[in-house]
Amino acid sequence: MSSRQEESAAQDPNPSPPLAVRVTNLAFSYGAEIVLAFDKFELKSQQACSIIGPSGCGKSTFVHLVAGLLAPEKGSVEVFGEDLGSLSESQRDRFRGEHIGFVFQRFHLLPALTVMDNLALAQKLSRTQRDRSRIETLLKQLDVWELRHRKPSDLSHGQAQRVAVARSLVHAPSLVIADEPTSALDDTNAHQTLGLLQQTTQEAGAALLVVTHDHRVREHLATGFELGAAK
Amino acid sequence: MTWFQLAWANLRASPIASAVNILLMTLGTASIVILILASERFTDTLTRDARGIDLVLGAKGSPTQLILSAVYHADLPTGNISYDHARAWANDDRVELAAPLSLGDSYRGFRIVGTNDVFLGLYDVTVREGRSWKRPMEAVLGAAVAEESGLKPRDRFSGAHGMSDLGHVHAEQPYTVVGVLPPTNTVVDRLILTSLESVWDLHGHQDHDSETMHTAGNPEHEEHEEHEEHEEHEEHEEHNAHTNGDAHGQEITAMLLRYRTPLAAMSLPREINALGNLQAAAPPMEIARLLSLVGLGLDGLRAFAWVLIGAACLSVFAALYGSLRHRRRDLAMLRCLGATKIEVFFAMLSEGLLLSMAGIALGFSLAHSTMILISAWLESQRGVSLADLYWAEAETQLLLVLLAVSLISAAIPAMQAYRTDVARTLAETNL
Repeated sequence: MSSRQEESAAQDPNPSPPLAVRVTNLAFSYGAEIVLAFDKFELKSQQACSIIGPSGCGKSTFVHLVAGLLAPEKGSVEVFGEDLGSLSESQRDRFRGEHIGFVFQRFHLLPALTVMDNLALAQKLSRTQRDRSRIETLLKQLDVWELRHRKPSDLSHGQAQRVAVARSLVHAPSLVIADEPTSALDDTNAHQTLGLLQQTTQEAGAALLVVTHDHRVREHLATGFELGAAK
Repeated sequence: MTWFQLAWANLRASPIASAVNILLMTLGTASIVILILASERFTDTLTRDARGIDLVLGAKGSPTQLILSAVYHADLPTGNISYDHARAWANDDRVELAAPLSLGDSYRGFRIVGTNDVFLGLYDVTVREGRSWKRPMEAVLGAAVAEESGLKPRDRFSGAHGMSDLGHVHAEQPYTVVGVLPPTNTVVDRLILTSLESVWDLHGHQDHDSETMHTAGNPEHEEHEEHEEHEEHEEHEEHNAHTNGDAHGQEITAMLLRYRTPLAAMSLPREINALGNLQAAAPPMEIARLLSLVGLGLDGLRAFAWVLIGAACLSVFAALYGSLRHRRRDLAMLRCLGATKIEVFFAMLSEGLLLSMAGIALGFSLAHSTMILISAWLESQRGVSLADLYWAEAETQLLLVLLAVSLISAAIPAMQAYRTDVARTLAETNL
């Protein structure tokens, strides 16, 4: 999906599409140093957005705040209308498990588990009902169903990536966060990965937030936001 | 996918390390359990065999040897004593029952014991098959003797001098089996009982006394014996007439006594030992002495087994703690997927507990299986049955201690997992 298409989708005349993420006057610091200050950020449901910035600009901190892994010191983070700052740490854990899926550069599949079990664990931790048919559908859709009994160490990079994408969607989340999904890939693979993420999240009806320092992402995702720069 | 399955999958991912941890815990646990069971059963057996026997009279020498030879039939006798001297004490008012023992021969490793019916009363056993011995060279077999030798009433066998078959065989005077005792699970099962006269006859004491032991305060017993004697065949009467002579000069090996009242323990042994010609030894005291000697060895073994368990717990701790470093990413991922801190803590804890508990369960199984094997071997070799699969009270205490130690050794790394800084770990490991 091109950035122009994304923009036109963002301008779709939907009277008031619910917001996937709303960030207001956000600040976070490690010690005395403020590493992140954010006036406003919004991501609508079922839309895709990228946040681009150089290493150390606070991208990961932003992701962790949106995912509820960190609690904001100032301002608010709302995900699907839930103010994460008002939740306890374990409530945020449960909320994250239920509503958010993750894709990391290094996939972070659990090495001791098979592909199937990695997805089953994600379903369990999301507190949703175990749905084997959804696992099967996703793995078939991503063309890795035949690999379901393999361990991550027996997968190629591309296969592992597909499995990681499947895991991020297996509990039917409303938001998928991809942290540096293309950083170590060549142009062709980066293009494929972004296409895959956009396609699968769109089909699953989930919003997509890609956080990266990789400027190639701009070519794919329209609603770009550059951290530290004026919007 | 459950937490148990996740823990199991993680353990299977490093099979050698997991196997070593489990093996260490298994060996440590099994060692301690075997020591507990063995010492309990050893004590049980010692106590059971000596039950009902308050004092043993015998020749001067080691009291332990006297008890071992006369009660447990596991050592050579200390020597012979005068039957008259022993009988004098047996007739004391403070004595309820007294059974003389005359040892010296054996059959296929089973000791032949010359005694009287009082001996059966001491062990509270009556003849199951056939009848008790009445005439010289009649024998009643313990249950294990009958089973292993295949002998049955009316069969004949010849005793050999000493405790091995290599001794002189008294082939010219074979015994006739007249009865078999039921299993008692005591040393009696492995004895061949006969009259004192049989033993005296075989060892050249033709001038013996066939009277059974007079038991002070047991006139019924005497009357009964007399009554039975009158019913015997003429041949036996003649024999008795021949042998019912002067008992002076006869010797026996030992005399087992049971007190009429516990108060006798205060005075009788001291009086007997003070006179000088006999030795009196009390089984409870000798059992205590034996157990304290054995206990020293057991303490050493027990300490070694605890070292093994300590090593096993350290090993579980080290395995989990060491794995934390390269599993920080996995733990962070679990949190990303929605696991709470406490769930991550229990995931790590269950992994450690799974290792320990597998080792503990295997250790208990191994120990009990070993005891069953030892018991089967002992039963075949010595007829002592320990086979019951009972659970000693000390095992419950051990199990609780082991679970507590395992919990602690797994809880420390689990606490580290609990404290994992997810955001920082993800930032560091997603580069």
